Amino acid sequence: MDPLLSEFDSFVRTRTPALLRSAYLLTGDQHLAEDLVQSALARTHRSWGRLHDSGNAEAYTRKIMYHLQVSWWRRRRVAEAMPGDLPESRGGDSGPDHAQQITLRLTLRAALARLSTKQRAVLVLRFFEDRSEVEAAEMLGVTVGTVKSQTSKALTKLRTVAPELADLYVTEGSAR
Amino acid sequence: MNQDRLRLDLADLADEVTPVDLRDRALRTSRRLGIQRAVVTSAAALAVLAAATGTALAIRPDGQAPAPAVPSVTSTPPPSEASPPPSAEPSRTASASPSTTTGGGPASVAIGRLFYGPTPTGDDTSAAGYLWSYEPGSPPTRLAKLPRLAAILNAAVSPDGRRVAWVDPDDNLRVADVDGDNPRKLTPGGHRQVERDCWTPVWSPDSRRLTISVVLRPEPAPAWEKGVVELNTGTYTRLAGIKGCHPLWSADGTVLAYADGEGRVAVNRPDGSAEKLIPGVGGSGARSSFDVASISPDGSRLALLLRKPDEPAGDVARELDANAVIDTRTGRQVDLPLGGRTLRQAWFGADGRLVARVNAGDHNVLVLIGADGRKISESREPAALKDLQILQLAD
Repeated sequence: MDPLLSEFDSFVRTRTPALLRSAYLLTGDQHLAEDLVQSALARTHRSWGRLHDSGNAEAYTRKIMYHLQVSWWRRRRVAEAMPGDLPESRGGDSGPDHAQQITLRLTLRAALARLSTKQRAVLVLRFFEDRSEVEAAEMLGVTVGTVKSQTSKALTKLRTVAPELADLYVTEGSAR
Repeated sequence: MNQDRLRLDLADLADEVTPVDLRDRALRTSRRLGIQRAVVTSAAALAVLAAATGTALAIRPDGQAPAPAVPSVTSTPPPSEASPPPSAEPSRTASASPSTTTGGGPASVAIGRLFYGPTPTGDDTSAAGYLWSYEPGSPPTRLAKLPRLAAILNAAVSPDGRRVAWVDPDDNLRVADVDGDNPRKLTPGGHRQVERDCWTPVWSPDSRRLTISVVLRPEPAPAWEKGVVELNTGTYTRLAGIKGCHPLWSADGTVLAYADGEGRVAVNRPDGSAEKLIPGVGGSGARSSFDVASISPDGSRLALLLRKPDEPAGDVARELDANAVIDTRTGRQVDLPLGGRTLRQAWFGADGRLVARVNAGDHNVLVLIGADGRKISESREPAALKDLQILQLAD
């Protein structure tokens, strides 16, 4: 096999799971997440000749992914329909704690679906990928001020659209 | 809000995704991107392009993309901007070309001159996307040869039926006479590239200007700007305050309509200063639309593709199918005198007439409807045009 293709294969197979996790939070849907990662990986492949030994392939792919998600016409109808869409049970613990966690997950998922793509992107970058504001700004191609304001708006909207979530977080937070 | 808890819950939510192997899908998409780039440098690539209908068409949220018939690709060459084009024999014949001897119902000059182009699902696998014109009573005429992808995604015929604009595979804006003569490449506002999937070129009612979206910055951090370019002078005017895809420009020049990409449809002034969303489309409504096809001369009615909540939303690629005509002020659907037949496309003329294209088995029928909503006449469309789509109803 072509060595470059072999390297790309290896990159895809090791990094796809992590990319899909971010993409799932960005899109709220398995198929949309797959489409997003697939599109980003395809563009990475086109540039693999210069990326493969740079060590920046994953950063490049993620950057493409965020830009596709924020800039593209991403049809959110599927995501908006999600609140009534129960996730499949993963089995295992079915006790009260597990049920509460499932409810919480559903609520958070529904609340995220109410955010704009940019608000969702800053939340995922800041609180899932643990990026700094500067890193998030660089990733999205916006100013740090925009990241700050979008983060603030996103958190406010989360509180507004899911007060029960905010209550839970505040209660648990204050009990610590 | 407790942000540590938010972090944990986001991680928990991310566990829902099912890991899948995207290697083959990524390579197929990459190959299509490569084909699009290679096509301008090699005629040999054209036959392959015909089979691969392009990235935008292949990306669908439901994952049920029309699988491009890329010829038995089991491995992909090393990525390189200078990759040799795929080898394939160019197809010199338009195999599914509408026959000039087919069909032809009773002449109905009132319908006017219709322009057709290929569809993503058509059987035509030839390399080029030909533009066709047809007027009931006369045989269809083959016109300009365009890159097939451009013909499907963005080719737009001027309202006077004289010129066609399209965005080529290198994102260049091009204009030619409808028969292909006098081709020109335009650089609106000095920008070499324009957008080809979302804010596709649309003619002003006087056929002298085009609204386009110029590419300010390419990938990986793309940025666009919408504007209007005057063809004779090259004057470029920026359009601010509009967010959407697939614009339509009313014949009286007062209204721009477009889909906002979230399922809603907006009407606006051409300067972007007065956006209004059409009630009952998108939002919490039972209907949404991502594809608008034609607008009445005064902007009061719109032919579009309405989708129910359980219908896949498709992707950014334009769809010119229409299953309804709605009132843009109330959002109410307008009754059409189609006798129970299924509407496929609907095009408004500059005088308010509407040509509704309905399915009739192995062919389509063109129903001419007056501005008062009454049926005027019907005309059998030649069967050879069945797999093409209407791009314009000219004055």
